Amino acid sequence: MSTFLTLLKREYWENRGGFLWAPIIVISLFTVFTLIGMIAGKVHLGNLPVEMRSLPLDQMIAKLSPEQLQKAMIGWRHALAGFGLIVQMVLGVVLFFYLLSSLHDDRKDRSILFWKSMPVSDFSTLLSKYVSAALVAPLFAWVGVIVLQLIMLVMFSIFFLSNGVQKYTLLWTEADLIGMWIRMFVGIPLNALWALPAYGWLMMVSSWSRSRPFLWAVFAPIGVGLVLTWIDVLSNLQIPQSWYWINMFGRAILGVVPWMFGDGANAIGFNFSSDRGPYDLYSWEAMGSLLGSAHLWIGVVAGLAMLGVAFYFRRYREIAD
Amino acid sequence: MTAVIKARGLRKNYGRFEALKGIDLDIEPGKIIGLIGPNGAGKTTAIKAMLGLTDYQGELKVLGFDPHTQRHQLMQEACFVADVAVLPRWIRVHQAIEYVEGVHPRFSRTKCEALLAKTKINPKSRVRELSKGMIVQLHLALVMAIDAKLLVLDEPTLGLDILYRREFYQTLLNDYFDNGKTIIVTTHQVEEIEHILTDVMFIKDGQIVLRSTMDEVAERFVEVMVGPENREKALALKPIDERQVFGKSIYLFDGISRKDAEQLGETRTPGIADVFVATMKGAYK
Repeated sequence: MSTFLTLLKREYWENRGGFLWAPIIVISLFTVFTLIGMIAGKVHLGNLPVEMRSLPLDQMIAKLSPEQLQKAMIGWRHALAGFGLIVQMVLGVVLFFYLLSSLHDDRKDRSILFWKSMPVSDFSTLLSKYVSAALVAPLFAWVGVIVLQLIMLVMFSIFFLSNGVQKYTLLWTEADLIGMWIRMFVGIPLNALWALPAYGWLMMVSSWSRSRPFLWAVFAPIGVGLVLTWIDVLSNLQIPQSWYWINMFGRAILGVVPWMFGDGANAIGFNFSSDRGPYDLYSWEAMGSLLGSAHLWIGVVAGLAMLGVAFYFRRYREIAD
Repeated sequence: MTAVIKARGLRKNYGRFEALKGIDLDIEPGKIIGLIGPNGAGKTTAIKAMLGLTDYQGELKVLGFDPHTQRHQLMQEACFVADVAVLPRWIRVHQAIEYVEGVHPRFSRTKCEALLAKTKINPKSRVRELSKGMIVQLHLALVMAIDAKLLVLDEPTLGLDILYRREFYQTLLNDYFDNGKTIIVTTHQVEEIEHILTDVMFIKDGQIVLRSTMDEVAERFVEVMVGPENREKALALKPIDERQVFGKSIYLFDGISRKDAEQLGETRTPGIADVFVATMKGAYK
């Protein structure tokens, strides 16, 4: 077990920039921009006629009907969840490049000869990389989301308070923070299953390609999609295009971004609409329906198969001089 | 005592090129073996096969394991430096130590730190900040702190200055080596290692052309400085090599008696390098 922890540490050391610093930087930037926005808003407010400067917001809130208040607070929950999405998107980009280089970079710089001189099985190596992508990095991002949401809560509380709104406490009490955090946490292992095809595909290309894994990983599936379009145009064969782009291309490439199962199993991504926002993404319903869908488990099998191919190349292919 | 390495008909082809042409080999424990051969002779291929880094035909057992299928078990007891400067460039020195300590049950941090203390390597540096020679020093310190039954060193001292090379080989012999261990070294700087070797193995065109202990080499080969008057006699004994020094000829003989040799002129025991050069004639043809 301590061996495996060492392997996880190794992955962290090499990828601290992506796992740790990327979320920190995004959070900092977002905080700074929000702050600038608030200050600008405050300054703008200062230009208003005196009688309009102190809006009777408290009284307005008090006059809201419970339904109206409920709606406003759900809007706030969407906003908080939306802040989290920013961190998750960055995690997706980090994971894409991490997985793509995971079994390629050490072949390129020949340090694989050092790693292979240690009593670490190639299976453990592969597993440590999968676990880093599926659990370690998402845990960092999860903490990042919580930090960003807390920062936003504090900033908006101060903003409201400085504008004389006493009811800012609603921001905290109605946010469903703990619930959201728990669902996001439970979503991490679920996402690890859902994203297996993407992880498997990227690691397979990383393990197999002699150079430029990026081009192979991205343009090979695009090429296949274009060929399908051609066949479609040239013959009367009806190949379901959208099926390919969703279930093959989508699952293999876009699936690396967390929470892409939000729209149910036979789709990729999440359609936002007036009555569906980011907050609905982190729902028990979405997770529950996913667990029961064949799409998830077919993807798991496909992902494991590709990881198997990745293992084969890692284990048996000769290292070029 | 079982053989550390046992090979029967070991072959390896790269397409049409035969890198190893059926090698038979037995290596017992407690030896320091120099594997010596010109570029492209098959040294690295042979080493790769022994370490499970390539597939092969024929029979091969290393420490009782099949290196290709039981690589993981083999690596518990064997270690290697396959090439210099292959440490990952992003890692920090203290991380590299922590990593090996974490994954290798036979690693001693104390030993490693003692070895590093003799260098100018800062534990906080990243490998990419170290000079070429320092990277090699770090790699060797990591490997020498592992109590392995078999240590394979492929050109371990490339890029090191002569002071450190000397010290490294002395440490290897005095501190690392013992009767339970086997060390295989390849290097082009043959002269520097011959005094620590117990055995020598020449490889040429994918075949082992000489395999003997250093004592046998000293008995078997003799170099004689022959004046012009004895030249005919010397040539009759079929020297395997000839070179000219100050108008005299120096002949290298394989397997003639000491008495015969002494009649021809002044004798001396040739260095491994001389024997090597004579044996490898035509290696590039």
